Amino acid sequence: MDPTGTTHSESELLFTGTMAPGWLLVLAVAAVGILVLTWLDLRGMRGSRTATILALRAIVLGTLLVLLLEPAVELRDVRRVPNHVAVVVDQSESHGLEVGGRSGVERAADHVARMAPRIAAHDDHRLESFAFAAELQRVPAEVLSDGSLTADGDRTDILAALDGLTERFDRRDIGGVLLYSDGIDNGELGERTPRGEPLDASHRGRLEALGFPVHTMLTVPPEEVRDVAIERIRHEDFAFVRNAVSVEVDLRVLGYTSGTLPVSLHREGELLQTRVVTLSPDETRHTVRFEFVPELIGKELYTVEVPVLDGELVARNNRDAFVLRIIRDRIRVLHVVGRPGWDQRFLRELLTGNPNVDMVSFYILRSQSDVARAAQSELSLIAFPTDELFNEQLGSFDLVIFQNFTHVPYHMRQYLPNVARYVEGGGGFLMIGGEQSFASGGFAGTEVERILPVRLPSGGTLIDRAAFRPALTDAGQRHPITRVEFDARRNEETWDTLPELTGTNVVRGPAPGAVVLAHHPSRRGDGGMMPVVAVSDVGEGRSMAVTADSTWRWTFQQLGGGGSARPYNTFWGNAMRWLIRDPELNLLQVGIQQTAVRPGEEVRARVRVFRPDYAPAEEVTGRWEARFRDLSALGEEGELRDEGTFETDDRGVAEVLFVPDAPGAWTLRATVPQEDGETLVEEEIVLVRLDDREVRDLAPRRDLLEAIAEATGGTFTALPAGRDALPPLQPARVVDVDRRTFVMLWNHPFVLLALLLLLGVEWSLRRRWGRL
Amino acid sequence: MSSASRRQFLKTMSALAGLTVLPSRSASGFGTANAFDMPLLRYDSPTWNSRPSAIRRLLIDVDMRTNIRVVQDPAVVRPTIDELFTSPMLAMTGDRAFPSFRDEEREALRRFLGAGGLWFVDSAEDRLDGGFRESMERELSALFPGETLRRLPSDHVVFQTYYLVDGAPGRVRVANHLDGLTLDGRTAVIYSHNDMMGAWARDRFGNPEFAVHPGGDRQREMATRLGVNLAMFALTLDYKEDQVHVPHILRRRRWRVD
Repeated sequence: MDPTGTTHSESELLFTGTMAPGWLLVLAVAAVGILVLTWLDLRGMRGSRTATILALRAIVLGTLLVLLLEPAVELRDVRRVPNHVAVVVDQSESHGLEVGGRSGVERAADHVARMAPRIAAHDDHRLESFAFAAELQRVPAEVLSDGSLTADGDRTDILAALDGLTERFDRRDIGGVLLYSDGIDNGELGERTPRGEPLDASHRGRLEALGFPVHTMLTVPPEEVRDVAIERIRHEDFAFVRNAVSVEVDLRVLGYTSGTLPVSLHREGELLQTRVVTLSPDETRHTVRFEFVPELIGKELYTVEVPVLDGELVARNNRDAFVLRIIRDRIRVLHVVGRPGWDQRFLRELLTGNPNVDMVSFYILRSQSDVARAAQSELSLIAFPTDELFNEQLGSFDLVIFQNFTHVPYHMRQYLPNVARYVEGGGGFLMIGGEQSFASGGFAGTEVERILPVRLPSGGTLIDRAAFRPALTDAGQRHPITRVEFDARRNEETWDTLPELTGTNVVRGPAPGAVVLAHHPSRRGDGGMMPVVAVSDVGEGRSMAVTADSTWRWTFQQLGGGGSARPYNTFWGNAMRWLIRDPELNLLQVGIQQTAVRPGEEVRARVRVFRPDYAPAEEVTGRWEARFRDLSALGEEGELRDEGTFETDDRGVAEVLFVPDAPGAWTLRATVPQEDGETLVEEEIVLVRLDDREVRDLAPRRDLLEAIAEATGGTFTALPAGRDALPPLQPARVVDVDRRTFVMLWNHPFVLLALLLLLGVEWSLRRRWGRL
Repeated sequence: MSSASRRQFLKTMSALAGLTVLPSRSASGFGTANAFDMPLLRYDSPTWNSRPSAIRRLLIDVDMRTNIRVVQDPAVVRPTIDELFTSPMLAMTGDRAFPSFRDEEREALRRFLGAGGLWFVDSAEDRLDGGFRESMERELSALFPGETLRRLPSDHVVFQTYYLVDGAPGRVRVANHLDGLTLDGRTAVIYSHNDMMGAWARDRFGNPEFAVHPGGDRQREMATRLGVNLAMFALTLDYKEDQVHVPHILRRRRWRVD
């Protein structure tokens, strides 16, 4: 057989004239006129004779009109070219899974082995063999028919494969496609029809425009698939701390129709919640919803797991993980004030002026001994909502401030343990002085004293009215709260020149583990000068004590003296940020923009180091290490996989790069030694995961393969097929081979002779019938 | 009778009798350094202190009726930096035109208001457009060019910081509203047309010093309530407006899951 096809001749009648259609019309009308005049002239003659004469004359006139169109015949040689018939086999991972003892690849091989010889034997077609996963690739024909095709692709994109054919061949030269697949598509088509929806008009149009039939072969029997998979976890990329966040998990349960299935959510390996799904024969899709409250800012790794059942096709799709970036919403502050005063007024103005702060204030405007001299309806007062604040809503706040507030008149002692638990659980607590604060407020010996950074006297002098200027301790000179100026000397000078505070609550001394930032210049407490500003970590939370009620002078009088309110604003602003553990106050910060990467993909981390005064720490050397944890063992110490050193630039910034080589949880830990012998440590997590979409839903997609076949004019077959007929393919295309001849008809002598003959016959008949 | 109830009884009786008994709170705790005061401005006018008992009497009422700690003796201050910055509250009364403040006095007042001070100005000239008003407008224009006194809306927080008060009652009722000047979103100057201090003023035996027209004792009581609201406004700013938003804020954050 000639591989380029067979040659033969074809002809075609053409008109080569250039006369304008208008003239042709005029001449045609004239011809009709001549015929009419002829008919009038022949009146009286027998009908048959008249018809004969008119017919001869009409033929002559018609022929003349046709000759004006200059007719010609084109003679050319053409050839039939065999088209391409593509056999395309899915080589994605799911197609290689054994279902019912055989894989889809093997079932496809059986069918290809029978179809290929028939295609190859046909003069009109040429067999082309391809495999595809994410994209199309040519493979030897025998690989498709002997079952040796390796199915390890991590994607299935049928549309990309069909588009790949049109890039290789002219659409007109594709006689058809035999597509073998399980239909589990995670490319465009699959993502548009995840739940068996009909193809949308756009994608259907793209398939129709291919111009060749796609005959689809379903290679995996759906009824034999048995698998439980976490198909998808629907979550936001970030959540707000102390705000409930919900996560939805889509499960695909195939082949298991009864019983229950526990679904568990874990945070950093610790079980958080479990939901139970009841299986049924009617439903293969299940959605479970988890709702929880992130407590800490930063990245958190969550895993969702379902147990592996007997006979499951794939076990690794029973677990999935995601990283949630926890950020802070607006800072929610509960400001409880026992008595309106200037200190509270200026602090309120500062806090409410911060657009990131949501203030919930409760001020005790009237005590039990006050006489309002008005009906309740004439007052704007509301009851102090003790239970709502300290029982129901306490946990919703980032920071609780007790300012000149005593719990005694409000019978609040029962709620004080709630306050302590709130702080130990991660909340911030600040107590500011006043005649109703600290020991004067009845807090000595209570649960609140336990979380305070100062110890309270149980009797004796509780208030010292003498004015004083607090002195910074060594810790206070470095601490972000009392470091109101970057420069250490200037910071000290600022504190030395701030307006005096007018009195203080008396405290015994710092609590164990507390850090005193500023102390009284002359008054002594246990083991040293009496603390005025002190802080401490309490469990997961933080607390702070300021024993004076006159820091408002640091803004009002400071401004009066021509100074700046900056020390006051910075002091309280930093105090608030420190109390709520604002990550921006960390002297060492590690940030990885990516939350999830593929194995082998480079992870780029940014390390920022600050000096105690929050100036960038230049040319500081630190160490980093990358540790790996398998998702099934998140509770364990990670395995050290990589390590190195870094040095900060003049912005205090260093970049750390590492390449995780295995799927799992990777933690980057940075450490920077401090001059005081302590070491700053900070960690950041990144999830390393394979692209495992192939195994997240193992239900064969008969519907999708049917839709593709229907849209392209092809046929659908579920293997094994009952018969082995070759699906209908497009015939070979006929092409010109560039040999053509034109034969002009209008100037041929035979035409002139025919005309003369016709005119002669007419003349002869007219003469015989006496009409000349 | 317990000491607490005895003190209560005495306070109540004192209030009823109008005696100038000092409330116990005014002398307790941290002393008076941080207690509420409403210093009276001494300026170049023969009537700068035409209601000498008014503020003292109001402070007694504030102490008796509210939880605010007040000073025993209200201060008198000149418009200088040294004297103005003892308290963030300042009161002024007058009934006639007064000469311009000196530059350094204006600078002190400008700085005082800019630092968070509240200036209560009480006109006793019984008319809306007298010389005192013109002088005040002149001074405020000099302090804050382009700014002017504007009528405070009837739902301004000063009318609801403690008592719910309609209008702006004083010794007279020349106008039924207050004027104010706002700086950076904060009402820094409050101007009364109705001689509120005249309504507050009582002699040492508790007898009103001036007759109140046209509302009599009820109007005097309302003037006192507005005075209490003024003190509360100075110390709590827009706290009462905030209360409206509290349920919304509390609802917005879902911090617990069932």
